[in-house]
Amino acid sequence: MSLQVNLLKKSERRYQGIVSMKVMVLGSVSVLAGITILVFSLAGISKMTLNANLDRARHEWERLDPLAAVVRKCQAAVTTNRKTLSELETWAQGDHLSMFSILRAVQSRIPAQMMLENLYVGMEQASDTDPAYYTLRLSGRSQGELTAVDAKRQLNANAEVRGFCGEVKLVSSQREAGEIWIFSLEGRRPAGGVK
Amino acid sequence: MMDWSALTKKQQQMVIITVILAVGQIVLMAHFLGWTKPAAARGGSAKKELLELGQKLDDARLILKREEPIRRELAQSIEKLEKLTVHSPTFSDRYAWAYEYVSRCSTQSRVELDSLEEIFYMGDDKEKSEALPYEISVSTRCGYNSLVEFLWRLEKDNPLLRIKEVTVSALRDQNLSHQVRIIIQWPASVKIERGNP
Repeated sequence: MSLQVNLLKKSERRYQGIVSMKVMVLGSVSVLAGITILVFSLAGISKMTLNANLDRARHEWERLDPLAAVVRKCQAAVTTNRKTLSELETWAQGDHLSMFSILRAVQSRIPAQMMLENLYVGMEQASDTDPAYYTLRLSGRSQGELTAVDAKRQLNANAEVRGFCGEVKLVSSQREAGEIWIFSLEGRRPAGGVK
Repeated sequence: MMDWSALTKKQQQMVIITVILAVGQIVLMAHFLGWTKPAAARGGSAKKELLELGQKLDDARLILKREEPIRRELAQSIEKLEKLTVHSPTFSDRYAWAYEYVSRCSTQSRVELDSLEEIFYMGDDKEKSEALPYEISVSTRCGYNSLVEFLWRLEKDNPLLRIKEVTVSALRDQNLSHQVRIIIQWPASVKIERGNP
């Protein structure tokens, strides 16, 4: 019979395995410290890189911003000019007809038996809030009861007059004396597009 | 496996302290590296500024790439507008400009002008009135054929001129001459933007 007596104190106890408890603890602490140093180093490098990139970007911005501002101003000017040109084009080529051609058309369509006393050709608008109308209004005296009706028919047969004020209508016709009649004709079309 | 009861008190303390330190280090590391913050907030204000600057720089580079076509287009638009502005009254002295133009046309048509007046819209504020078309009223006495020629001359030489209305009234005892009132319009002042001088 054999007898084993453990005479080691607790602090002197040995452990089986490659490394002791103390080494394991110290190793763990060292590894943690190492990882921490590595991570913080990487973070530091990252921060420095970020700052360097930021500095470079700021310098680049200081250089490019004034140049870009000039081009932006030019672009804004192009937009404004383009809008102005478009407005002028609309103004010049709106739905209005040349006035001289309308007056000439009226002249050619009025029978010789008629004498005009008033002629109005234009865009009529009672106020800013009211709609505008292209209007042709003529009044005067005619010889013969149906001369004004004939004039109306002649005016409506003209494409320019019709394009300007739509259909011309006989507004009034009354005998003044004998074969002399006082008449009034009018055509009105709502103005579309630009006034 | 480690037998906890086999460790001395000092060794147990060391293990506990090591574990606490490890956990503390991990938490601190995670905190300082920003892992506890949302992804967008990581990197602090510097990263945010860099991102914003990057965006601005991209925009600036993009617009600088288009500098040449933009300048070319600006030059073309200025040229077109300059060609048109000669047909529009200058804002500083438009009455004189309009008077000269109408007077020249009337002379060529042998129409004598009685008056030429600016039309103002009362009660409108300045900004609104500047945006309104410039209008003048012309009064004359002339024959119908001369009137047609006068209107033709007015319209043909100026693409921006619009005749708003013509009123012709017969004159007593004058068959060949009529009282005529013409309202002429031009667009509000034409402004040319030139970008950077």
